[in-house]
Amino acid sequence: MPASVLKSTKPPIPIDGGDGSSPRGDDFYYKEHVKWIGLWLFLSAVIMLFAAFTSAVIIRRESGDWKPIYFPSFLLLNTMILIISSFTFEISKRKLRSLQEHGYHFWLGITVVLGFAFLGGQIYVWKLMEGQGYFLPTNPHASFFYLLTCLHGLHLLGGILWLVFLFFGTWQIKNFKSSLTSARLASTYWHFLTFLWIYLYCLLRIV
Amino acid sequence: MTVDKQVERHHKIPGFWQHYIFSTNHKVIGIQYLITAFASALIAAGMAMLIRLEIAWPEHSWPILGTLFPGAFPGGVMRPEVYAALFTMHGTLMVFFFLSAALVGGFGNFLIPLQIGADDMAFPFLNMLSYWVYLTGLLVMLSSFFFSPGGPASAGWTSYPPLSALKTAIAGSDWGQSFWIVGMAFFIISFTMGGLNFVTTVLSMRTRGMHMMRLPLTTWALFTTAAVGILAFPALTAAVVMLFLDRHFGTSFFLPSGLYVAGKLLPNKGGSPLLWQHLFWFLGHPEVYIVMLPAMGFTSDILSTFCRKPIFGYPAMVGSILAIGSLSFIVWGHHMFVSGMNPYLGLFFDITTLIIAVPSAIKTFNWMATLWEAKIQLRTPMLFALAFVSLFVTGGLSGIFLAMAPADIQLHDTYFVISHFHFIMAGASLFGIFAATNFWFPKMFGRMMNETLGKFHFWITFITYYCTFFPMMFLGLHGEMRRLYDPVQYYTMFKSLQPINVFISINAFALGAAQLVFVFNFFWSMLRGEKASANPWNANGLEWTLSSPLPYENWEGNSPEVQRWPYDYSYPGAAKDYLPQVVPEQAAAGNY
Ligand code: HEM
Ligand SMILES: [Cu+2]
Repeated sequence: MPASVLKSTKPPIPIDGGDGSSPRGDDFYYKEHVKWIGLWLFLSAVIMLFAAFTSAVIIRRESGDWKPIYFPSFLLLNTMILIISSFTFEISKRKLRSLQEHGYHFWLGITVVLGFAFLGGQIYVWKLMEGQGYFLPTNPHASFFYLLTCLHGLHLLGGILWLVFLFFGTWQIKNFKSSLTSARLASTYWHFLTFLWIYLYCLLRIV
Repeated sequence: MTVDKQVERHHKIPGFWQHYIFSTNHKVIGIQYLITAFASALIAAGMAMLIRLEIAWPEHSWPILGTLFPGAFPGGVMRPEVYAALFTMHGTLMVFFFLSAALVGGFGNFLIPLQIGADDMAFPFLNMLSYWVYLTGLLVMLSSFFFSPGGPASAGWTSYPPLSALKTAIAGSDWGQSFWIVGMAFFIISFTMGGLNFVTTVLSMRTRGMHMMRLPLTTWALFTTAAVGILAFPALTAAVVMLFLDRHFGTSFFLPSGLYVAGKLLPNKGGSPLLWQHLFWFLGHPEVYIVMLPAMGFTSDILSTFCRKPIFGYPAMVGSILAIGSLSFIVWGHHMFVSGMNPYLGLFFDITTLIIAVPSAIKTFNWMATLWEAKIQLRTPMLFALAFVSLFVTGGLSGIFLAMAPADIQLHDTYFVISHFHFIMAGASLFGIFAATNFWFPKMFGRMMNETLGKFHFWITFITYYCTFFPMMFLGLHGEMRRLYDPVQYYTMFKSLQPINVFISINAFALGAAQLVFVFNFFWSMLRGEKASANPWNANGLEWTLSSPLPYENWEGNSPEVQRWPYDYSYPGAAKDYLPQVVPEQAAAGNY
């Protein structure tokens, strides 16, 4: 593998190609370029969704019946699990860059397991909350807690499915560049969900 | 592209199912969208006829309706719940499932790849999915007429809680409202998938030489609309999710304390109905521009073509499209002036709303300047495009009254508002759709739409449209509220206005009937219309360099090279009065 290939798969051509056109055709960079745009547009819709919920939290907590609820400390542990999963994904990508297929699959597998662990942990947190007498309609803070954790969980479930596809889709690395691109796209989504969770955690904690 | 590869491409035309039903081809999807959207428009128009029947002759008995729909018209008289369900579903179907779907799903799909010189959308599979999800949403909405006990949703297209959040508040708030929520969820998903595709396609698949500043204004508008949709619809998603929880899981996002239904105090506490209004209008206002911008784009292209003149002020047109798209996110509060908002906040929304009139006015002046001293060809698409400008100005001027809170507090929720948005949103976009259908029909079906029928349809529609919606301004100025089941019996002060309502209804029926001419023309021309040449209007866009009807694969790999913008009409020194975008400078004086 020539060293230049390993450096980066950033598209060499900006959005507006020199002659006003975009890179086109069956060109690899062009296809990658399209996928990145699609991913970021999707993420911007998700950002707007959670921005809308944030504004709802802010407005709703102005009314008199907002009683803060307290989270089980297990939630913090679960947060750590998700953060660690982002790191393991990074390790797996490193391994891929240095063409260590086994390491790549190993760490990717760990990431998937951690993702499932996080989801299981969230369900456990819900059980703990219910044990404390907090149900969805109990009070607005609890409602937002269940709603936002559930929506984040659904997005994460999508992320896990994506990782599983990636895992098997790149089982045998035939085309290095396209495997790396797939991994980078998936990891962008994955890290996005980690940041989103940290944000939601702070939002739910602070208010 | 080698010869072998071209031959190979010719063999890729798939069989019936993949070609017409589960197609990933943007042209087929566009036509699927367009025809489905027209079907929902016809259904919604039928509802409007019933609404107008009730308003003009409140609680009158129509034996034939009693026989046809004994449940909804017992003894031939419309039940009040049915009236509420009709105006709700009319609005929902028209705004989302007709206007948005036809403009964005229909023309967006059909035109964007053609106008930028691409073979298809960036994500063709997503595109196919988008249509089927849209159709599912539409079927869910429509099925609420048959399958939901209590009938379809009845809380208005804006679905304000508490009415929409309490299952027992009104018959339609029972199952009907849940159908509405699910239907809208499907629509939002479909629209987002489409939007992702459009933005990505325009950003990344333009052919050689197609700078952003050489895009036809239609594509600019569709591009901006798609971006606005991606960013605005999530607010409604959030709102419908919370509404769903309030309805089915006992939460109190939107339900305030102390509500009594049928003499019983509800357990809900502290929710904010205004929160819904904020979230809804954060989508709702951009949504009105989502349906306006594409129609503005069509108008620009069609005016320029039939004036045989370049569009006036192209950069200003692009700038105002972008300005409208972004400003539309900060004006939503003008729908809530009477909600008790802080007057300073109201002032903010006053000002932003008036500012958005500036780019709108820039566009209008540019259209005027394009028409100035032009050799106008009054073909059917041109008539509709001119009418678009007229409706847009009428609606825009009425908007300026509404934008001022002191006036709006009087006018809010009256027929003045109904008149305003039927001119600017419903009317202008509808005329835009008619203009575009007549204009691009040859590309879709290889035949021309019939001119005589088209002109007949135009004049009846134009005249009855004004006669239907203009008098509503007077009703509104006299204070007559919208959504009244019986304006005569319960509000004696409106009795003297009733002749206006009768006049409006008669015109509305004529308007409705005239649309059958369009439907007939559409299908008749599709089968029997005069065969169209590749470029029947002598227009410049890339789509006109391909045959009519279009080949299955747009460019079969030989994407065109763009040399100029699409508005070189009556170019000095050129032999013909138009220069397609692919003609290089040297060739201009010769062949063209
Ligand atoms: C000159 C620009 C415009 C101004 C100043 C303006 C102003 C307003 C205001 C203040 C209202 C609220 C009235 C009320 O409910 O009391 C309103 C309602 C509305 N406007 Fe506009 N508007 C403008 C352009 C548009 C455009 C371009 C569209 C659509 C394409 C549109 C569609 C609507 C609709 C649908 C409603 C009413 C929705 C409802 O209550 O059901 N407006 N407009
Ligand atoms: Cu508005």
